[in-house]
Amino acid sequence: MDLIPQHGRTRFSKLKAAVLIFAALSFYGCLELPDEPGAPPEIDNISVYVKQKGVSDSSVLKISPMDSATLKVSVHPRQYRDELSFEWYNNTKLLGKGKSYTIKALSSKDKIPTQLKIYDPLGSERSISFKIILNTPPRMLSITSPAAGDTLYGHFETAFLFKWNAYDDDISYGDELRYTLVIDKNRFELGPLTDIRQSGLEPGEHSTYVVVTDSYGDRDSIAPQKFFIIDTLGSLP
Amino acid sequence: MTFRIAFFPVLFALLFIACTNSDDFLYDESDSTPISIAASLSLEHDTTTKQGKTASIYPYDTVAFMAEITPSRSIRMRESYWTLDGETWAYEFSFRSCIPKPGRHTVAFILVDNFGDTLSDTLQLWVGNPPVLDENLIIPLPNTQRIPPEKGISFAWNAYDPDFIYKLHYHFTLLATDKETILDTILDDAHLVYRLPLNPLESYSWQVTAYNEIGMQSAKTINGSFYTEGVDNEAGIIGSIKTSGFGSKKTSKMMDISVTVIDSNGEAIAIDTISGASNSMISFQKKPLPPGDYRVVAKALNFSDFQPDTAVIQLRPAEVYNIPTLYLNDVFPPTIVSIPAQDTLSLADTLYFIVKDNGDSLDLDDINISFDGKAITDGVTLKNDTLAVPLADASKSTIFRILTITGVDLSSNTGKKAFYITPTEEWFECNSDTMLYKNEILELFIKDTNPYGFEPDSFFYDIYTNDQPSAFHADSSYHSFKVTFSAFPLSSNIVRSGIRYKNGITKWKQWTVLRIFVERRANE
Repeated sequence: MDLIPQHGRTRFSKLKAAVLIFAALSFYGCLELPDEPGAPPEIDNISVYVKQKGVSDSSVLKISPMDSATLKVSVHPRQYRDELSFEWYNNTKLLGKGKSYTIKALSSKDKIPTQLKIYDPLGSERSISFKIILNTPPRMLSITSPAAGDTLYGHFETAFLFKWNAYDDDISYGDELRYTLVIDKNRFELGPLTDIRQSGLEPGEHSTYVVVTDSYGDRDSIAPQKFFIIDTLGSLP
Repeated sequence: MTFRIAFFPVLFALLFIACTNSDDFLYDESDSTPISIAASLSLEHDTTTKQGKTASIYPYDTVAFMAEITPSRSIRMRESYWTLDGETWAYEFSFRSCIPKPGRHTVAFILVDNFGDTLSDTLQLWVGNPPVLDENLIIPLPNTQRIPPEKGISFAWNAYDPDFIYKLHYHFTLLATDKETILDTILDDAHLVYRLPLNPLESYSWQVTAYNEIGMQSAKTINGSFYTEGVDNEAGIIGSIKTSGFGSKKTSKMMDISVTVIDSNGEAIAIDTISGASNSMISFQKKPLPPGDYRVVAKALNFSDFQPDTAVIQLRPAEVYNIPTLYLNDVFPPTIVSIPAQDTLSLADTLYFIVKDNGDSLDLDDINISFDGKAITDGVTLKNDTLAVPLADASKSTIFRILTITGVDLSSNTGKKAFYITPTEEWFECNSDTMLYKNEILELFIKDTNPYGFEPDSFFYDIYTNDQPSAFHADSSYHSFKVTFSAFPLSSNIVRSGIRYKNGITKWKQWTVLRIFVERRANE
């Protein structure tokens, strides 16, 4: 004889299961604590980098104003990138929205972003300020002395003039040019000098070139050009 | 009853407390001893050397760190330790260590006293390596010719800080031919443009030394030089003349030097006279000159001992020829001659010599005299090149002896001469050179003094006018006889006195009688 009726046993099991489910749900609910209201997503880093002519620059954000360039956003971890929205500002003026912004060639300064605002789906906001450096690379124009193929007359101790020209659009904005003169295999760091007189050249064929470097590390040079020295010994008047 | 039992102990306790000087247990500031600490460092291994608070050191330099605690290290304290850039470093009061990492470092000594108060003292150290200066890659290279004097000149050099921490600066000097400073400045950049005009056909030199921010100097110094261009292809000469001996402290004499430039046709186109040169190195300069082949002759004018020197050069257009040093060398040693101009001399109280040098007169310090191996200095005099050597104290000898005189001139040329001093063996004494007046009688004598004990046999007197000497038998060791004025027929009469010993040895002496044809007066 059963002391407990069958249907009563079934009812007890259901109650027991309901209690267990309730307890499990409560426990799970306790584990899934909601984010603090207003806290940003767990994003390690958001940074801006620039890409011009296929070359990315995330350090000094330097571009040439003569060519178009694209500003891009780098987000880490990457999976948040698509959940965020971006706005590009020049000071308070909104220039555009999106994960990238294209700076057109010869853009005026007010068309170049200085700030990026990032929004998450909950409307939280973060901003990054940055400065895009517009730098025109220097151009090495020519070595005027000795000209390519020149013949110079002298000897080992004769001072020969080395003179060159370079140009940089940013000179008027405070950019400075520095030169490295290479005579044969000897490199001379000359700072801003654009002409020197040097001896120590044996009669025969020599080559020289100059490398110009601006304040932002952009550089240019021209191909080595040859010149010749003939000793004047014995050709006294 | 209970009250009584309790009352008396309480009363006793109160009285005891009242009698006790409780002030002893109060804090009195005047009784306290302040604690102070001082940290210092020393770069030497010996801590007694100069101590300080800051230093610039090389990596791995050993530095001694010392902490002083007042009143003493034995005070009660909780702990003491050293920190390096904020990190605990050492626990000793004094210790030695090094800091290998270049840069600025702060070392602190920290003491926590018994009450928990913290005292600290800090030291600053700058660690680095000296700048590296490339003395080869410079502009312009040494001895560069034809720098335009009016267009300015650019200098450039390479240097770097091996630690890549410190900025460098440079001490730059530009000097003219005569070492006059044209520019002396400190630069932050490794280049300089000097734009002021320079003189044509001149020699200039420049120097650069690099320093880092902590005052360390580069191991190398750039020593550059260049020559400026001449106008219209005119050339120039610079050079120097070195004279041996001159310029030393031993002489105050000055040399007159001529520098003659002779062209390829043998014509002297320029003669410069440098008067009163008193230095061993004399500089000269000759410009402008047309380019061509030349001989440059330097000659000492007032010292014949100094040999002239010649340089053969080729002057290129607009260039300066730096003639290698011309040498005016005295190659002749001093000459030493005796007054009778003989090398064999008789011993005398004083002997006289002529010691002469055409380069310069000698001092007594330049002359060494040695007689029979012993130096003679006492009584020696030198006047107008005449050297007097007293030998009065020199004992007589029966053998030849050597008197050596050595003279050294300013150019270290050594003249040495040996003289033979004849033996002073005296066999006998007799008359010496004398004057005989008309009214006088001369007593001729011979006294045997031979040191060998030989017995005299005869004495001789030979006035050269006679064919045979007068001979007298020797009865003793002494003999004399008198002659009158008429016995001497000549105004100067050579007389020989002689002695013959019984063993056959005969010795002679010669002397002179000057006949005076007046009568001697009483006061003569």
